Amino acid sequence: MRDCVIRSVGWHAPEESISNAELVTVFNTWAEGWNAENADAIARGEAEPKPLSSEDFIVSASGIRNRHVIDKPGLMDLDRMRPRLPHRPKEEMSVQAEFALLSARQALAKANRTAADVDGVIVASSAQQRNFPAVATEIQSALGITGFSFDMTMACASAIYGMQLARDMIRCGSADAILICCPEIMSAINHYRRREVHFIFGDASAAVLLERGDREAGGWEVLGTRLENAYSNALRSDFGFLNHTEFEDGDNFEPFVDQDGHRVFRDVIPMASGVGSALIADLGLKPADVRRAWLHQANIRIVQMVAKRVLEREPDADAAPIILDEYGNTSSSSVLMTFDLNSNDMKPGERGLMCAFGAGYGCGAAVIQKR
Amino acid sequence: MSDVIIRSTGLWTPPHSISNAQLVESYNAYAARWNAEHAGEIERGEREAKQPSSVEFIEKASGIRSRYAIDPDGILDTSRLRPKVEPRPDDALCLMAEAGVVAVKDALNRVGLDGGDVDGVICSATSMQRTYPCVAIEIQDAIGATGFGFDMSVACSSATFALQQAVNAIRCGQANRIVVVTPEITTPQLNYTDRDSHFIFGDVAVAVILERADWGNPGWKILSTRLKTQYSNNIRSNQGFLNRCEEPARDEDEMLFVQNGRRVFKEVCPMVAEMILQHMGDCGLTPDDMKRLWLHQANSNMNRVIAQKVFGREYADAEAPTILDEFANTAGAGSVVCFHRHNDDFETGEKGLICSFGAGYSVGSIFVERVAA
Repeated sequence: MRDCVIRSVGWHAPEESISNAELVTVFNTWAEGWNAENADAIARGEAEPKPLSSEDFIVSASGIRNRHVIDKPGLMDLDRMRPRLPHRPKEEMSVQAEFALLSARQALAKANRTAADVDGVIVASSAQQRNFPAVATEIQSALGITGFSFDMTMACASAIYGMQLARDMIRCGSADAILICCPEIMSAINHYRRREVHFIFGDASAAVLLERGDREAGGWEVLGTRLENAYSNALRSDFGFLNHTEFEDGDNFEPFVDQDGHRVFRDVIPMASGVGSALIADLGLKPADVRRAWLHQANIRIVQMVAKRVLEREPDADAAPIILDEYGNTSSSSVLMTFDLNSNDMKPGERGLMCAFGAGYGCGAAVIQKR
Repeated sequence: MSDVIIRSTGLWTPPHSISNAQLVESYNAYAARWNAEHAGEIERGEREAKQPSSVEFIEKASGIRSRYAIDPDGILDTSRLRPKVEPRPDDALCLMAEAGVVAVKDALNRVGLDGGDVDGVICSATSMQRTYPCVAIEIQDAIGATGFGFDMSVACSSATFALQQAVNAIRCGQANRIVVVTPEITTPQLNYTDRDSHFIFGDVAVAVILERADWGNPGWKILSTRLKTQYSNNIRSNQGFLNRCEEPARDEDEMLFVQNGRRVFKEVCPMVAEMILQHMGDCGLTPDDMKRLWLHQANSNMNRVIAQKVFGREYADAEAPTILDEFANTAGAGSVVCFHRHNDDFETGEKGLICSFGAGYSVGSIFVERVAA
């Protein structure tokens, strides 16, 4: 079977960002307003007061200090607290495809590849903005790629799942090169009026170009991948095509993210470290053979605990780089961003582990080696 | 690398079906009411009156005679015109998973397997009922399967595109036996106030069990797969997670299924026939090698044009069977449901083609050969 290499990664985070202080101000102003409006019900014990958020709480719970977003004014608007996105006619490019192209074009340019070099496009992200046509097909068309495309989802682990599919296609000869796009507009999914989650996500788009290894020297060989699932409702979001058959306008239905953070923390650490360790062992390697772990940036404590277990050593910044302080959790794009920001210093022959995990639960790992 | 076979297939249909006559009665009652409400505007030429639908029109335009539906009452209720689905608590099996599980178990039972024998689940359908957790994982959990799974979508080519992913995963050793399940709950996506499309979709779920050929079980060897997409806005459904952020907000009409049927017909038929013939030639096969084409079931007129081009002659119904008269268009599931219903008479060595096409545009082409144990 043919080798498969990561040829390039491109990514883009929106220019505008929101600090914890700004986010806490808007959340607390809203919460205090709600508590005042519902003071009687709260006094009668019929309603729970909304707890306040704080910078200390956010930093100690997650390590996040900032997040980049596609529409800051909409999120900072007390009466809205949700991004404002243009409603575009079908003849115009969709918001999600446009966002994906910002990183897709960068990945192609970095690899010095054109549309003619690519056979397929996979959009692998938490959600896609419409039922059909596939967002991937719109991106494919905008880039001028002939061939095929499809959309897939596995929440925060989508990129690694997409990489395994692309690698299998390349190894089986179904394609020579595949572009995987992870356009994550998480600010549309997040719940900005829920204290437990309002600080978690950031928006970002990332793309990774995988191709057969014999086209050119360089790149990163994908030595192996491993995917594992375990069903859980501890992290859930309910946007879907049945919503309008289940609820009427005015019903109090909230499809936004909800999570039981403690359970996720407890369940995901053993699962992710188990998948990473099993993959390293399957490849006949030892933790010491892996210099770095690029992990999904959900939460600083999860990152550090997974890294420590998989690498079997105290993870310093070289072994487990962190980018969530600046970008928050950018879902499937985060593992690619972490890799791209922290891989230039590695030498040929050195190995690293990409590992992403999240809702589902779905967990995917890839061991790669610089060529 | 091991070859891969389709070991078995399975089906779920809702218990109730809607005839064209029922659908027409409901649509026409709605249209008459709408015309009465807008009589002044219609008279002044400011709006066009809604034309009535008819059983003859639907059959002539599509070949469809009935469709299975999750909630006929809600669809036929002229004050609602959409299914009513009871919201379920998080810990209950969701509707898509429930339909998918029945189809998967049907496929497993037919060959004496159970969920524990499966190490991958791909749920591939036109759309998903929620953002996460993935429906595939819920199905995986419900049948007791191990391994990996994920959700994917490519409109009417959802099943064939997923079959290629499953074939590659088995050939590369990621799994030994994978279920591709396509639960298509399509009736909620239709606009029952649109005469051109109100009859198109039906609900169904279909499952395909794929496994390593070197285990030596009987089934259908996958000879070759090919996928193609080419962007078009002529078939569109705008529902999605960004709708709540869009300004100005979309009307419901703008979120539901809409198509430009004539353009689809004109553009998709040649695209599909060309791709099939090209793929066939590249595999060293000829139309004479094909006992049967299991085509996507959108429209009997499209299938006639495509099958005639592929065979290069008049053909018998059994060479390109129809199921859309009973099921209507079941989106990503159609070609596989057709395969499921019409493959009993194949002898070892006989070959056929499973081919999907639809929104995207997307085309998936899969050549299979009957193999004995």
